[in-house]
Parts: sequence; structure tokens; C-alpha cells
Amino acid sequence: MGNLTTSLVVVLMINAFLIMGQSAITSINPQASNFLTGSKTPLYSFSQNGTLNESNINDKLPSTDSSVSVTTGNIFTDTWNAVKNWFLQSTGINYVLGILSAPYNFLKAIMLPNEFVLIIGSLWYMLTLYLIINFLKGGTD
Amino acid sequence: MPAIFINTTGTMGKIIETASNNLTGSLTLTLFLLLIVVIVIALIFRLPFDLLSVFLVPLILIFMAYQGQSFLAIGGVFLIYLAILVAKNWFIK
Repeated sequence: MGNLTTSLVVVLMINAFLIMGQSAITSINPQASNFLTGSKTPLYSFSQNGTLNESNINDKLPSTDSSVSVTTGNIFTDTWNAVKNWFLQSTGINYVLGILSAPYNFLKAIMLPNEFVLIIGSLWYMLTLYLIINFLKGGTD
Repeated sequence: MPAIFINTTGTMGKIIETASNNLTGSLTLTLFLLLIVVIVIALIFRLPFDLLSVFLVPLILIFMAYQGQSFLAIGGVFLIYLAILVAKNWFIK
């Protein structure tokens, strides 16, 4: 059984190789098919709109969502949403949770059969969710 | 025959064009056959697949660039294999 670091490294490396492969085939043939255009992958969600801009790194950090709408919704759900988004985004958990569904998006992007994508994606989701819960509880494996 | 990266006056270009027209019937199948031949030759000489992947990267990238719909899954699985290889050897001790 692996640990959480292994899962993160594997997903990020797969993401990096697919992005490099996509840019390589687009460089070879500009009319080549795009398979990694979505923004649901960890590396694309790290950058803003798929482009990296090193001049302002504050844009890449997780932002907080603390506004409460006074005209729509109600005070309970709005407060709950604001608190939940603050925890998810300011602590970076939202970014880590993207690891859970990343292989599903990768395998769909390279046009593998749906059944195969479902099996691998669900297996990865369950195992990584267990690893995240175990990590939060303080376990090592 | 689409005029892609095949130089039809060269030897390899003639082989690919003739094979596509007379043997396999389509360029995709010819390129796939080429890929299989490279892998089989490597298996015959017991070349490790890690080493073979270095030679296969440009081949598969060009196949993906020009026959994208057909080679996307093969090339994608190959890139995922490379990524797991790099993650295993470089980052996970």
C-alpha cells in the first residue's frame, strides 16, 4: 500500500507528461488534435486560465471566498458556503481534492474506453480518499 | 495518401507509401505495424522497455501529431507509463 506522497507524485508526473506531450504534438503539427484542454487537471488549476505568469505569484495562490450575498439565498446557506469555501481554498484542500478525480479526466482525455476509465477512476478515487483520510488521522500508510 | 511527414522520394517514404497502398490499406495501420515491429525487435534483443521508451517517444509523438485520433490512446498510455517510470525512479525512494 502506498502513501499519499506517492499518489500526489504519480498524478502530478502524469499531468506534466501529458501537458508536455500535448505541447509537443501541437508544436509538430498545429492542426493536431487537442486531448488535454480541460482545466480540471492539477497543473492547469495551479495556473490561471492555463497560462503561467511568474510576475504575479499571488494570483496562483489559493484565494478566499468570504462574501455573503444579502439579496439571494439565505443567511444560513450563504454563511455555510463562505465558511466551506474559505476552508477549501485558503488551506489548499481544494487543490489536493483535485488529485482524487484527476486520473478520470486524464484517461477520458486520451480517449480510452468508458468502462476502463470508470474502473481505473473509481479505484483511484476510493484508494486516494482512504489515503487522505488516513493522512489526516496521522497514519503513515 | 496524405502528404504528411513522408518524403515519398526517400527509401522509408517509399516503403511506408507502398505498404499503405498495397499491404495494410491505411496509413494508420502501417504506422501501427511500424510501432509493433520496433517493439518486437527490441523484445528479440532483450532490450529493456525503459531503454526502448527513449527511442519510442519521438516516434509516438509524431504519430500522435499526424494521426491523432488513432494514436491518442496508445500514445497517452505510453506517456502515462513514462510518467510513472519517472515518478518511481526519481521521486519515490
